[in-house]
Amino acid sequence: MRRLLLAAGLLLTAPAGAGEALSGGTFTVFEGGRAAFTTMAPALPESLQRDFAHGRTVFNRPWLAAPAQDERFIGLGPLFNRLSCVACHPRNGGGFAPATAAEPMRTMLVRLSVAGEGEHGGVRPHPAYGDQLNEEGIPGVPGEGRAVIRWRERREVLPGGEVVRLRRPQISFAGLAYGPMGRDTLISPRIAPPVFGLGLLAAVPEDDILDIAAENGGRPNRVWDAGNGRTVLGRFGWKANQPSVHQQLAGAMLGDIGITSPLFAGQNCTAAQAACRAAFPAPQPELTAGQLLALETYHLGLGVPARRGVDDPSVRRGEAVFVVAGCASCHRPTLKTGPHPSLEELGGQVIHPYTDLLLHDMGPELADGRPDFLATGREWRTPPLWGLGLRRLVEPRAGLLHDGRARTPLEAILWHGGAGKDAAAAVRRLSRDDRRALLRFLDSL
Amino acid sequence: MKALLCATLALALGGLAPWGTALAADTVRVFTSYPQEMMDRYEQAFAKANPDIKLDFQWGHGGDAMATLRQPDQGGVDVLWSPALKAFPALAREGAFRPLGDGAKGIATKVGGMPLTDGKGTYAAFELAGYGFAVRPDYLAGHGLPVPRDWSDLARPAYAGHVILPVPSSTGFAPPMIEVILQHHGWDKGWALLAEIAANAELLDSGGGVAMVNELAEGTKGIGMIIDFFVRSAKADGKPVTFVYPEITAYVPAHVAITAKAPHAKAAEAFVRFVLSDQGQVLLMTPEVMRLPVRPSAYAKAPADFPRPFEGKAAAFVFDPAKGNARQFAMTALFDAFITSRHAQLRDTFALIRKAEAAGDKARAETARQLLTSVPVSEAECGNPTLNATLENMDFEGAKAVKAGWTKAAAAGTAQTLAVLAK
Repeated sequence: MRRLLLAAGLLLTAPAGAGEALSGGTFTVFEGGRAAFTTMAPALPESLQRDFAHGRTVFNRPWLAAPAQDERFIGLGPLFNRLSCVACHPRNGGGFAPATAAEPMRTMLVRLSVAGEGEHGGVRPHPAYGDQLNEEGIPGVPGEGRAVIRWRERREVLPGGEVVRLRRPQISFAGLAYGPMGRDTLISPRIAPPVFGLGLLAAVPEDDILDIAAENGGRPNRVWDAGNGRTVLGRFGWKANQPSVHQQLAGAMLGDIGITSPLFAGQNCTAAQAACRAAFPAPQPELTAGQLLALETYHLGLGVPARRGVDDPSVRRGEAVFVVAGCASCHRPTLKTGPHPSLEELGGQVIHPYTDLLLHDMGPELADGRPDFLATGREWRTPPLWGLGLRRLVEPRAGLLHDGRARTPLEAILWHGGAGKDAAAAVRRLSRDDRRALLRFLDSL
Repeated sequence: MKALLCATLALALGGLAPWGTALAADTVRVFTSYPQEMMDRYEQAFAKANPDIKLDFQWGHGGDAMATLRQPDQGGVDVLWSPALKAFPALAREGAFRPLGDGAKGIATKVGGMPLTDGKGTYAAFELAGYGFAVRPDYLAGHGLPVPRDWSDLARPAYAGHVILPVPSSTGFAPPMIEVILQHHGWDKGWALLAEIAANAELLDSGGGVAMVNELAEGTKGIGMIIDFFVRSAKADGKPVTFVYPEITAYVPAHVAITAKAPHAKAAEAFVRFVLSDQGQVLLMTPEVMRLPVRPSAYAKAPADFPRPFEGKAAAFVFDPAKGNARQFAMTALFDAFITSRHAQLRDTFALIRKAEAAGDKARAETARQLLTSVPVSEAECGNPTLNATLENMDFEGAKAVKAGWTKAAAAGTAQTLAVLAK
């Protein structure tokens, strides 16, 4: 511990660099309020701003079941989770887990699959329920059932007497409409992640990510790029199972809202779901190429909020603790972007996302036992931490970790196992003052 | 971990949680066009107050609401809850609703002199929203401009280039706002005023209120003509904008009703009771929503600077929404023909007229202004039901022909004006 503090002391002597507050380089926005994640980056060229506004409408607009008069947003379902993108990503921020068994999953869903590899090495969807539980159906199509979350809580006492309550979810299902799940079903509850900064992460050169992997033991996921028909590096999603913003968006539109697109043309109905397959058809694809492009422009053009208080001595001290405890090994403070295939302005940026975009074994307590491409049931992608201190301002119930079990950054740290176990142990050993400094630093992100 | 997974899977096998179904005993299907954040806010609060009722939202604008509720089973919808000014009176006339019951007791039935419902008790007002100006005070100060007090201020030359005017054919909230100007100033003077405001303005034809507020927040313009909640909500988010009610404005209601064939009538009554209760009305004042309650007692919990539409001068103007509803298709087509189609020419020609005025050539300027702002369609013609039916779908050849005729007449007016100015 003494060695840790000495190291922290050494690091403290370095002043904050001029660019440290600019989390997103020229894509940084100086919004510290509820609009922190919804603001257009100043670097987005004027020629794309109309597309950005269109994309914002697509993101926020609830979809309608066919037939309907409003032809631009027809095609909800037949099975779905929520009516719109923003329903799961409130104000573009992260989702949260229900507090009780009675509360529905509003910003969370449960991924489903069965053992074995599916097409192109991905998951094998459940034969009756597909690859996620769609709780809702349009009129005439029964929703698939309800996922129910219950919590088991334990206390942990940290040095100095601070008590932290750690809760762990237990998932069950009620009212399953298409038969029992079956013994070989793999389930994984997931809260919705924040959606800003994706374009910058897409522009981080693959070689840089692989270099980090060689250094810190992280593993790149290799996933199927449906548009180009080849296997490539995965960057997005809790298990890095999506290769691009484009595919992430098209996949979520289909999986969460039941909206087909030029990339994913088939409806989300399994063979067991007759009413779903017989539902009134909307004009195809339901999300047009223009809407998908606008939605992508919106995501690429969203700004990343600037850090606050970077020169505060306590924040500086916490930053040093973060590094010395080993957190920065995976939560990489600084990355550089290379060329972006569609938006030149995203290239050449020094960014501070606090991720390595790699998979790491996070130990048995966080494991979901559900492999996804190369990701094992114990591996998760390092989630970016930029904007962390603003998440609860944007959505007061925003959760952390894949299933939203953590309500605070400290809880999230204490759940780290596997490759993150030593860092979590280092944080457990911190004095109360150092722990506070660490949390101040995380709050500044 | 293995033990946890096994336990979890075991629970999943039977399809039921061991502690019961955890499914709500009743359901209510609510048709709405409210934004997601507002739906979420009410859903969460309603679920807390009524844990036995599952709330399902079906989303769509007024036209889809009318089509759905006109189906033989009314689409299985229990409640219509929406800012759909035209839909409620029309559906009520067709017998689409059942009596609301006691949930609407204490809810305002008028704002100023304007009735909020048809008075027959099958639908009630749920909230109000008022029209006025989104203003960026530092932008106006930087350009040496005063905060506008009334719609006519926006036509003053000083505001040229600083205003955003929404196009009513593509912006949902705009038609009643245009009607406020037409009804207050009268048909001919109203259109003349709109034309001169347009000459000062950028026309907003996509993105709606959110896009307008963002444009102001980004500092490209200083004033936007808009409905209040977009601005107050953005202000609560920290955007540098504020809302100003003009001296004359209108507050338009959103409504709630229970369908005649509601499959879940008791749950529907519970929903209506909730949204009209003090609790449901106070929710309107939260930053995510920022609309105006219709239960006057809710204002006791409002901050001091919260608008009070049931008090003061603003309530004096009697807006007639039915009049606007009846001619909406004609009015929006006329706006496109009279203003949108010659927007650049309006800007340039008004600049010439103002130049003539400044040079003391008042008679010529007056003639030119009259020619440029003379609307080619009378108020009576615009209110013709057959014409409005024709213009309901602008893809039809008949509708295109009517609009093309108006566009041509407006263009002729511009040419005549320029000829006068060139003499």
